[in-house]
Amino acid sequence: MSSFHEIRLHGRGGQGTVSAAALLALTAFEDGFESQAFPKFGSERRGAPVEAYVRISRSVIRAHNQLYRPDAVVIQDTGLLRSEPLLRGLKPGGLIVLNATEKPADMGHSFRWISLPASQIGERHIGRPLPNTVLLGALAAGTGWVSLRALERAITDHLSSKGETVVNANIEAVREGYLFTSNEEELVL
Amino acid sequence: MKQLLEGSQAVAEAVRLCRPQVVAAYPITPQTHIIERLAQHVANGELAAEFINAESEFGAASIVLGAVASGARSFTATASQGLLLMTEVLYNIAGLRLPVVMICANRAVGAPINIFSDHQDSMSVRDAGWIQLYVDSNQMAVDMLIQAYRIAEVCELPVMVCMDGFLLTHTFEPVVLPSQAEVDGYLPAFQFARTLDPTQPMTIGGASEADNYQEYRIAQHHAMENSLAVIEALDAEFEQQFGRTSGGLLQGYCLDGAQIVLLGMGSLMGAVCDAVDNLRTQGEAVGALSLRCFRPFPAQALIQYLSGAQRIIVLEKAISIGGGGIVAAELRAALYQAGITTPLESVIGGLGGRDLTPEVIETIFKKRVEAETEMTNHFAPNHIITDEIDSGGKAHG
Amino acid sequence: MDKRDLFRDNVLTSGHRACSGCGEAMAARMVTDLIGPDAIYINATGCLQVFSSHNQQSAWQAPWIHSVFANAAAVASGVEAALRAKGKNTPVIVQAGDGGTFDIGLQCLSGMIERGHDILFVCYDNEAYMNTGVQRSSSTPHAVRTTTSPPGRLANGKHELKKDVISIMAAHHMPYAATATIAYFPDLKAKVEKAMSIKGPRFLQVLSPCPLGWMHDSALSVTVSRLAVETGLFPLLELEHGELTGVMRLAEQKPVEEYLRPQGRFKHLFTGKEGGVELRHLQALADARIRRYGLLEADTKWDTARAMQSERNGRGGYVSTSTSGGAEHGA
Repeated sequence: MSSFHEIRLHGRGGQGTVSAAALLALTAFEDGFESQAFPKFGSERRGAPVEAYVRISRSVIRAHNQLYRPDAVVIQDTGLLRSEPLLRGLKPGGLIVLNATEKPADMGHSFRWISLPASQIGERHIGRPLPNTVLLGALAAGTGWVSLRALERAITDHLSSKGETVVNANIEAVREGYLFTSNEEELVL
Repeated sequence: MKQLLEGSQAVAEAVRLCRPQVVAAYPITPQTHIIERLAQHVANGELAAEFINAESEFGAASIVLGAVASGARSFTATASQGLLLMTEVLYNIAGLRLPVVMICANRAVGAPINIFSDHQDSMSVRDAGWIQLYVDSNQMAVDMLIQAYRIAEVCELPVMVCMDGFLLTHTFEPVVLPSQAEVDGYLPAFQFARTLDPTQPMTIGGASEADNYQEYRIAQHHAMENSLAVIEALDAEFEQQFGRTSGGLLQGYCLDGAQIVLLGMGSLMGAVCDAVDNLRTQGEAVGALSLRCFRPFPAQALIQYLSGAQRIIVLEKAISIGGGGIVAAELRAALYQAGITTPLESVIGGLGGRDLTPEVIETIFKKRVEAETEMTNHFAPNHIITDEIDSGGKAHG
Repeated sequence: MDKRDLFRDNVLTSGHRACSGCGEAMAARMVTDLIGPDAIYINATGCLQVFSSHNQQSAWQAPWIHSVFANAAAVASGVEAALRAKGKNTPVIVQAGDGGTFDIGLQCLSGMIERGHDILFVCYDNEAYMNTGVQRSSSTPHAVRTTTSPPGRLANGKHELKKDVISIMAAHHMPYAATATIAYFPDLKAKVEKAMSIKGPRFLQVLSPCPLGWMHDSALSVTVSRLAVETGLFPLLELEHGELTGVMRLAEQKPVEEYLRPQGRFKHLFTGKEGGVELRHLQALADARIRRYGLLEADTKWDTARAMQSERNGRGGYVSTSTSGGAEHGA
């Protein structure tokens, strides 16, 4: 497996897309990798499409340029599929982690897809339909780039200021996302 | 301890460790995360400072001027339009020889209004009398900020740490934050003799005329020149204590046997180094030189590094409209003075957030190396994704 | 060694380069001596800065700083913040002209007040940019001749009114704002002392005639500033937290012409064809101010007649006039 991964996350303002990117970078860092996370630069507007990016590497990451050829794309809101070129630059064989109750009919291309109802899972654990940590669990299970243990530790660190209840709820959410994906047969087209 | 931090948070922690007594700022993208974090530190009692919400950047610069003149270590941060609004006060702070430290979260200047990164803001105030240090990474931003207070207070000159907006300020990456004891060991408490004190009344900022004004300016210029050695010495001292260097005035990469040198400033140097690695595997004798200190301009050090080069390509993210590349012009003058006539290419790019990827830099390199004659003031090409993968996205668009 | 004791009688010592009869120099001498040398003075660019700190010479016997024109209130904010951080309570005083207060310095001044800094801002108001050669400011009164509001075939001097800056100050609901002139030292003294007894942002506007710009005899600076008060054109006021708490009552209202006649800056009103209209306008403005502030009927311990009487007793006259003097003034 290559030791350099680039991930792009899509969501809407308010869905915690940038937080998820930071959390993923933190997870990789916990696992002993070098990592980097950054948002699509610009003004932050609630409800507007948001992108964030993560680099994970064995060696020091020097570059601060944008990321154009992700190995994986995480999509927090299927509604974005209608308006945004979400798969642009995704490498052949790249992974798509999609927050959806059903797999989209028109997927095309040789990508790997993971679909899971992340908002519902998030709502069940966190009390709000927040898909971000659930999708990170799925990404971890679907790629093996980061460990579930590191993800849990990162959540504990990252959310510690919000209290134990929030931390535990998010850990439950991330676990379910991880297990859902581990049990689900991946659909390869 | 090595942590994964947002750049703004990392430098805010570095500021906190330097124990400023007064922080004054006015919000402007992309500087906001730095001052928000400092405001929170003050609110939490983690930083014993007066946090002053200025009514403008002009006011913020004036507040730190007054605070430092009263003997309090101070901090401010701004960018772009805000830095230009400060301009009058920046000259004044430097003329009064007040050791103010600020961060410029580098951003383009309007019109058209643009919030993204380039170096036009800080380069536009290059003559104000501030030491200007450009950083490649968030680790270097932290380290340079700590060094900046030492440099400022030893030289009695203001220091601007220039840190690319968004590209560094909004990027999470691993950073080693020193402990309070370590920083205290490097940066002693602020001692300043020329302060406003009723027991030693002093007139600061009086008028001057033709018979002595020039001497003030010459003294200021000499202080800047003398700071070159101080910057190097304090970086060496920093390295000794912390085990990391910020390179002092400049830092080379793969310069051994390099016939062609790519020179630039700030966060673009990461992509430059990646491009150098790629070009080296293709057999190109190329290296990179990161210019950390633009003011004072380290002409001698640059000549030392570049005297063996056969071609120099200067990449810069600012333009003197009607003139061209600013770093290139100054470097060309320095080389000419040393009798070095190495061809020097000036390439301007990355303006207003335009991405400078390793691919773009390799393209520039190849085009310039193929060219027969020395050219000035090219503009970098866009990063274009050409392969078929791109159409996958469009199918959903 | 405390260098203050070597040679000093005044905070603003003699030998500076102000014009003869300079109202601002008199005002600054009075104000700074009342406050004393144990304070930090921040000066905006302007006449006072130029004539007191000229070319490696200084008339200041207290710590004094000048930065640029617009930022005196912000520099002072920084000084005050630094003192607070160091646990010191040295008084911080800003001195600025009307340009540095009404115009270019207004934003920094407003910020200083809004943030609640413990600073006294003193505006020496000579109603134009005198340092640069008498150009109009927003403090210049209606119909005044300046080099940039000249009378001509189509103009009778400045068309607009003098900016009501004390109301702008009051609108900040600041602890204390007052107007004063060099003609009534006991009143000025009471106001400076009151200002110095209050914490928070304070503002003092001191009308300071400029013989050069106002074009009156250098010997008449005090007389002219007294007439500004007696005609009602420049009411002496105190405002606390936005409320009017004190006015100096007029013993009688003098016609504005008595104030305008000695000043060359109004001369065109007495020679030009349409001057009469402007004279009536200026009289109406004075009448309006008298009504607005109740200058003829206000119940106050102070009035111009008593102030005159106390002044005749000399500089310390304020203290010797009566037991119910300034201490209760405005309380």
